[in-house]
Amino acid sequence: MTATAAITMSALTKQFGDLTAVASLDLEVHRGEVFGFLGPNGAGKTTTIRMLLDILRPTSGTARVLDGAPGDPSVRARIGFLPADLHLDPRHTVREAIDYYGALRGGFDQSLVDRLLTRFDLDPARSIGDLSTGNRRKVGVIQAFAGHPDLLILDEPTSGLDPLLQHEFLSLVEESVADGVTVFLSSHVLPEVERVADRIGILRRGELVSLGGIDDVRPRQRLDLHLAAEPPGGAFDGIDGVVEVEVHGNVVSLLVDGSVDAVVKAAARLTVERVVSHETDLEDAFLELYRSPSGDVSAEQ
Amino acid sequence: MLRRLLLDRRRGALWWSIGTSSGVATIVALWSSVKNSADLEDVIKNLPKGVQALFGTEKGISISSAPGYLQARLFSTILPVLLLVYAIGLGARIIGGAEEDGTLQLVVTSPATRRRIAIERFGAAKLLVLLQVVIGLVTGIAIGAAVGVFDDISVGRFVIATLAVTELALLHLTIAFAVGAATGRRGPALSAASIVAVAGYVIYGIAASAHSLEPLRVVSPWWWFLDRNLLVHGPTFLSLGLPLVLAAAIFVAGLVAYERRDLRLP
Repeated sequence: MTATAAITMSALTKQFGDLTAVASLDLEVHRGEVFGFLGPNGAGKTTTIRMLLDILRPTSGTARVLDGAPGDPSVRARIGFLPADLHLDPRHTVREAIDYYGALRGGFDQSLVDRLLTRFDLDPARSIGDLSTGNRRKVGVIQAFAGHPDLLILDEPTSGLDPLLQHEFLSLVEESVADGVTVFLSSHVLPEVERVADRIGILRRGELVSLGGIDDVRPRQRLDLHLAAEPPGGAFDGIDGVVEVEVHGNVVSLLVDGSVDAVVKAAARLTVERVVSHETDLEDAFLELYRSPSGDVSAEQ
Repeated sequence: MLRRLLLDRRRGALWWSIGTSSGVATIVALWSSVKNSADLEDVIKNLPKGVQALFGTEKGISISSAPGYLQARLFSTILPVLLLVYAIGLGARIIGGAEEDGTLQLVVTSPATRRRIAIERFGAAKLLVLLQVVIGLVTGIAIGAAVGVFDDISVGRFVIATLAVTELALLHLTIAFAVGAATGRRGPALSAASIVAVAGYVIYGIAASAHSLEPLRVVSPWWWFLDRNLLVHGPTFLSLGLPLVLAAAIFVAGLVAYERRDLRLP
């Protein structure tokens, strides 16, 4: 463990009976960085996070968090946690719930709580039972940030938040990072984390298959340009980043590696009626990365 | 944390208090109409021995006397049933139910240790049971005094008998807590404690009905409590000491299991 590590996992393994949920994970999250922990659903992200919080105990290997053990109360006092599956008692009001979680941490900074409530437009007097899923998530977000944590562990944080709130949430993450907070952010979709993450690790079937800067793992994007008229032949040939071009009448389908800037500029010469972007799912991105030099997928598929 | 569980349960506690006080009040008030009635005596005498035992009757203590009547109608039936049902439901909730529905998630990830969580929540549940006891006791003493129950028995004995029912209830609360803490599930906690309660009651009745089955009764918490009419004989170790010791051991076992296992959050 180095002095600059916020989280260190060494050969961290968790088995449930015959199932290996997390397999010998070695990973270091540096202090002050935003680490995107990606992987399809069921890859072992939540299991890993639960080992970082002493909800689950590793079958073998170790996890160290903020230079201590995950079960150490003084360590947990410095962690803000937003679970993927948030279950709040429906009988409480928003204020009661937040005050309760604050009391467990020796009291939240009330002015910060009030600022967050205003920012996320949440009425503290409302009963949790009457809130929409999105509004309940806000309670989770507020309790995670309100304790001035040194480390934020956020499990699928933006699921259930509408785009506007996702944006607000990511701004909040950015502000925290500016204050020196380390963020460990899990997600099954890349766009959720690519705005804020410095580094990304991709987990698949409990194994870390890729680790790198955000640009290393940014996947290819598929774009369909619906044009007013059939494009002139070769209009999209030889453009930076374009890997594949298919033209079907007025529709140009492109597979772009990296920035789409050159494509947009090339398209600007034509009349574009509609741009359809297909979310490249992480599984595809991962498969691209995991292809061995010979072009074969060497994974267990 | 202790306060939270108390507050969360305040509505249930209020409703249950109404049940406890009206139940106890009715039974104790009826004493005045049963007093010295020979009819009831005859009815009881004709019942099978096992059923007599379940009524808490004891040789030489008339059902129409204050201690006989209270033992039969209050201390061996209504009061333990009220307290046990309440305690078992509550005990299963302490860890098992709250872990299963996920409301414990942000608590177990807070700086509170599992030990503190278990101790505080168990303490809160215990207080809630004691609240019902106090309500039952106050009602019983007030109504009892009005109908002349305490002409025959002392208030002290009444308190001792109530204490013994309380320990019986707390024993089952602890079983429900421990199984919930060990499994993280409400169902097994409820079942285990309910099975112990019902089986204990049935074994006590069966053991009294046939001489050859008598040795069985030693495993029944109901026998510890009902064997000797505490209103007549005063405190016994079986009724007041044993449940306490046993509950303490079960609590520790539940706590240790809870501290060691993986949590099963949804």
